[in-house]
Amino acid sequence: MAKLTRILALPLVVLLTSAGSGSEAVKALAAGEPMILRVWNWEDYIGVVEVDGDEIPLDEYFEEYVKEVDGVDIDVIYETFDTNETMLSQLQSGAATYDLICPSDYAIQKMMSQGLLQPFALGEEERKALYGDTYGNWSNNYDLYASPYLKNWFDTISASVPGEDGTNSTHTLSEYARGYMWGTLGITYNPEYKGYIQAGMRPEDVMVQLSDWNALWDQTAFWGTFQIKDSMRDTFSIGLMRTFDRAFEFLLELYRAGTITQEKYTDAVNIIFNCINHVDSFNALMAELNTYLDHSETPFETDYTIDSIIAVTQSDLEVLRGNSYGLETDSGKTDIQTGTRSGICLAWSGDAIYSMDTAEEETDIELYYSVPSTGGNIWFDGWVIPKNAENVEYANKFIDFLCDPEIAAYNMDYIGYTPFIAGDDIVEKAKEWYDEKTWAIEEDPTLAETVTDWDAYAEEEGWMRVDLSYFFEGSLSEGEDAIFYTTEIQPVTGKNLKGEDETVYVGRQFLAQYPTIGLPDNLDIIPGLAVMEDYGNNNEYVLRMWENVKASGVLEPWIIVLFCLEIVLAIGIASYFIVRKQLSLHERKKRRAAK
Amino acid sequence: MNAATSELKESFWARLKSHARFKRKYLAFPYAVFLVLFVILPLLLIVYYAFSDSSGTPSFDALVSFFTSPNKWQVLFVSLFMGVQTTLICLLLGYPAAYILADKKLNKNAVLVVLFVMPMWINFVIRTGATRDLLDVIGLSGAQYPWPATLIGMVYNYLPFTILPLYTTMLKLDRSQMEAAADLGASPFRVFVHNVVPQSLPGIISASEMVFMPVMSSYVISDTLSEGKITLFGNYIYLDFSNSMWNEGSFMALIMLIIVGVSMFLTRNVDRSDAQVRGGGLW
Repeated sequence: MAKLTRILALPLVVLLTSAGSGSEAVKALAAGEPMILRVWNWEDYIGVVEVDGDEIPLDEYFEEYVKEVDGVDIDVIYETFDTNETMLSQLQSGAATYDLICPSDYAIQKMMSQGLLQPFALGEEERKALYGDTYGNWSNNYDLYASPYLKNWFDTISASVPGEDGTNSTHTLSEYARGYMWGTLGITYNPEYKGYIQAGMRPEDVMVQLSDWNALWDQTAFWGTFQIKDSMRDTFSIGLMRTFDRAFEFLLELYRAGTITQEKYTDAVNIIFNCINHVDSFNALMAELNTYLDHSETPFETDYTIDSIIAVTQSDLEVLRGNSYGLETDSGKTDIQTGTRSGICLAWSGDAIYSMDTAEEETDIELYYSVPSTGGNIWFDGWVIPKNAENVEYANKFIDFLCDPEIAAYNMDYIGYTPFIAGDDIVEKAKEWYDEKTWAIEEDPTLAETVTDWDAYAEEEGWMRVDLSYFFEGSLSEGEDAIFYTTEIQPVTGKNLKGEDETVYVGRQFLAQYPTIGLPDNLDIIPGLAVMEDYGNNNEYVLRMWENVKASGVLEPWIIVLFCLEIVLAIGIASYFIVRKQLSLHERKKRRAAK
Repeated sequence: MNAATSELKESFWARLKSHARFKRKYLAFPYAVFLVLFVILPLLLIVYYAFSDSSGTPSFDALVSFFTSPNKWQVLFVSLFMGVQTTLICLLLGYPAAYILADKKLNKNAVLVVLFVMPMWINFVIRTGATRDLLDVIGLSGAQYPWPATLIGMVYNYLPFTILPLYTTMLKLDRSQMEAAADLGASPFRVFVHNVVPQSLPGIISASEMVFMPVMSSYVISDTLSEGKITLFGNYIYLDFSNSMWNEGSFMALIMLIIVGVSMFLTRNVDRSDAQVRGGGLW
């Protein structure tokens, strides 16, 4: 053993000394070598820019940009992760040090409350202190160009951050994160899926019915044709939409009738969405809803507990899983393009755009995207700086760079998701993609002069006017506006789930890219969107529920019968051989005794 | 006294010399390091996590949670069932195939063996994706038939692991014994049951082990082919780990280890007692 240690020790000593000198060498090199910025992002989540005919990823382009602006060399080390959970566990174990990471909303909350993050440089004074001489080279693009609508969302999401002195204080996402991309969770569907045609449904009927989450629980035409996400949080959010459908429906009614304000409506939807974390305010909300009810109607329950909420949602999700074509992690967005496999998949807006684009090009199928009228999930991905970051200055500068509307437009063009940034370049890019007016003027430049009233012109042409001011407000220069004219968003009349005629507005890429507001009724998606917070300590409840859902519905009687038969058979064979062996031994003994 | 010390010194040097000389067992050293780092340490870690709580203090929470969750039992049962079915089907298909391949009268072409193992050359995730499309085309999609689809995929993936050990055992079959049995009037069926099967028992056992254990713990194949409708134990462990429930995940991993260990112990035992009866060890 002693020898073993000596054998071990020798190379170890060599290793240690060489490592020591190595790190010094690295240090020595670092003096004259470029600075390092370590960025950790999702896969395929950064755009490219074309320079001299070459496509350069934005992280590399940043190196050139810094050289030009600050005159220093910087080396951006760009790495990727695939889920928030793997990213978090690597960060918690201390195996990874980065200067910038791009998690989703709830993961940012979680990281804040675990004290893993540091705030961004807020305000010009802090920026001046951080940037020093180079302060004049950079502009605070996030403050200038991020959409006020989204900044407002970040102000409302908060977490309790542990401080140096051991006390916790509440901070908002606006201090600790810089939004990158955002979107909704909705339904991508193929209205002409063979199963629906065979069931005697017109495409219009499919469209009308799929603007209602209840369609997924419908046991007739949609049964077995839709894929849901094999993802606890996303599927749980869909389950809540079903479990509290009546409350959502009632709230929408109140909001549309003007009984409650838009703010109140959005608040209420968010409370129901996060009922796991706020059971008390959820029960209070239900009690409040009861005051609006007629005496003849059954009141809403007001004594929910986490367990009772979980129990109801679990049974709803078990039914959903049984009704579905299956659970998918990543195949859904391509399966729906085949036109035969599945007719519906639940998708994040960016994936939905991808499916719609490629289906159009490759299989000539027109897919649609819907966020049902009772509401749904809005999500954000944002940049954060970990506490142990080594290059805080350039982490801040990288955000300034990414939030430049011109750069953000490259991102939007390449990734397909919608950036946090508004501004001229973004609105122009969006109009290039979706605006009939822009297309018309491109075809016939004289129109720009001759048409004075575009609203009237649009009505003649059958274009729908969509006002995206809620998103672009305050970020546009004079002469630019956020008015779009589109034929993509259309009113459609068909039979709803109850078999009555109903009119809804349906949309495709444009709707997925920018959820709309101010349209008649059904497409007024924005007020009904809710953020799903980090479950915190309640995560275990949801995980247990999800485990139960995933275990459900497999154990059919024939399995148990078959298994029992096999066990009986196995025992039978085994005992046959054992008995025979014993017998032969016995016989041998007898023979020996006879000798 | 002096002589004694010098003798002692001498013998010490002699011993040192003999030890310092390169020995064959030093060749095992690299693997020993590997074993400690990647097998024994992780195992100890699993045990540690299985019997502690999230703050690191010893606790039986994970154990209690496992034994009080019917859903975990159910998933375990489903995994066991899947493992047994796949093993049986693989043996039923693989046994005759291996027999034919090993019989030089029936198979004069060694290339055929390669053909049987060839699917193993392609990564199984890719193969499973292709199987999914294939099953969809022939109308056996996992959406409607999760069990048949998953079983087909499992058998397809693990059949080579059945055929190979069976094939190597059957190459060593003592043909003269079989001929003698036939000459002494045993019907082909009796020859098979009383001679071929006992002779190939080691192959059957190692084939079963190589199929049963990985099937129990696999989840990519069942996830893809059953369209997420069949959840296996491995999937559950992964779910807990990805939600930072390290303790409960570790406990379930430990349960899996125990099951594998027990099944191995049982088969080894059966094999040994059988070998004794036959008066010689093939295993």
